[in-house]
Amino acid sequence: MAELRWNPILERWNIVSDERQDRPVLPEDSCPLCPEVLEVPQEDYHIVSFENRFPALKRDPGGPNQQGDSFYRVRPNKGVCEVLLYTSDHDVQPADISQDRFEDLISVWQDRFADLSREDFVDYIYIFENRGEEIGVTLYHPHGQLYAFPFVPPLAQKALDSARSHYERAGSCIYCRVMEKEREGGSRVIWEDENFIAFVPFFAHLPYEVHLYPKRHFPDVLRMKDEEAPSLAASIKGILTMYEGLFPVEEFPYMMTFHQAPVDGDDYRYFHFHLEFYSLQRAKDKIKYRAGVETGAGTFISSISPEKMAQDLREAGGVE
Amino acid sequence: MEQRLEVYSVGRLTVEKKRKEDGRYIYYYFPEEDGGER
Repeated sequence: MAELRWNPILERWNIVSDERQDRPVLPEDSCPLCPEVLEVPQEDYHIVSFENRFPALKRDPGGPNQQGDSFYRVRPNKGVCEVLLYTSDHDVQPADISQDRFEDLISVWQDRFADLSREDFVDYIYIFENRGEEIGVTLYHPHGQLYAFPFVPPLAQKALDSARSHYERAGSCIYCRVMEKEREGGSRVIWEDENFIAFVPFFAHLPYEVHLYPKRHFPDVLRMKDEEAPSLAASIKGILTMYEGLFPVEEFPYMMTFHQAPVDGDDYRYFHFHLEFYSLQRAKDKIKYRAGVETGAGTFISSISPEKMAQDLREAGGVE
Repeated sequence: MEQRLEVYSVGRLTVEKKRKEDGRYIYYYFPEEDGGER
């Protein structure tokens, strides 16, 4: 069974995809993402992107299994889910990936964004990485993912609505304003160069949440200038190095997420491309769970102040 | 056996777009200096 089902109360699409139950979870005998095992029949590779064997969204989904109506709406789960392999080296930690390879990864993200944005059934392209068992990864091999949605997902829509409202009211970008506020005191800034700035935002809602903004205003990864790409690569590598040094755990769990303008043809000049990183690891042996208040009420309780998180990250990265 | 569909360049990478036997697309990115078909 696979389809999109509309929640008329929260006004958002949910994806039903029960075949994902069959995904292998942390296989011990061999890794399907390593060369010549399953997904990549080459003896070695640099970077590879391929369509997921167990996709939540499909190019050819067939009809919905459930009959919908005007209230309980149902749509085919049409879209694309890709897996991006950062390297053929199964054991390398993401923070140890070279600057050159991160710059190549940016080219890959740009190429996949450009290619999928030309598909008329795609409205929003979401690039992300899950790392660590606590986040729910099913494979250890260094990789990220991409979902090409046939709709704008709800958090992205909420952010777009706020950005548009601020633009209409103040005539400026809400993300540029956040960046200005973070630079005023600087107590939450953890990394900065001439093109990018990384900080734990005033309103961080998850452990060691980091936002990474380009200083120049542009809406998506494709509009980034060539000379800005090395800064983005260095800043991602810098943040992952801080994460790795934060606690003596085997693999620091994190999510890396790209936030970009939709590709549905509308005008999103008010949106500001950026990345957000989150963890669930709030101490060496403590995990932040998404429990009743977070899940049922949508309000997050942070047991570490954003200022303390920023201080911890700077110390972990050896930043003065 | 994968079917080779297209070759193009992006940044300093060469891209080979192929189709797997089960119909899924796969994209190989490799440095241009490596050259040659994969």
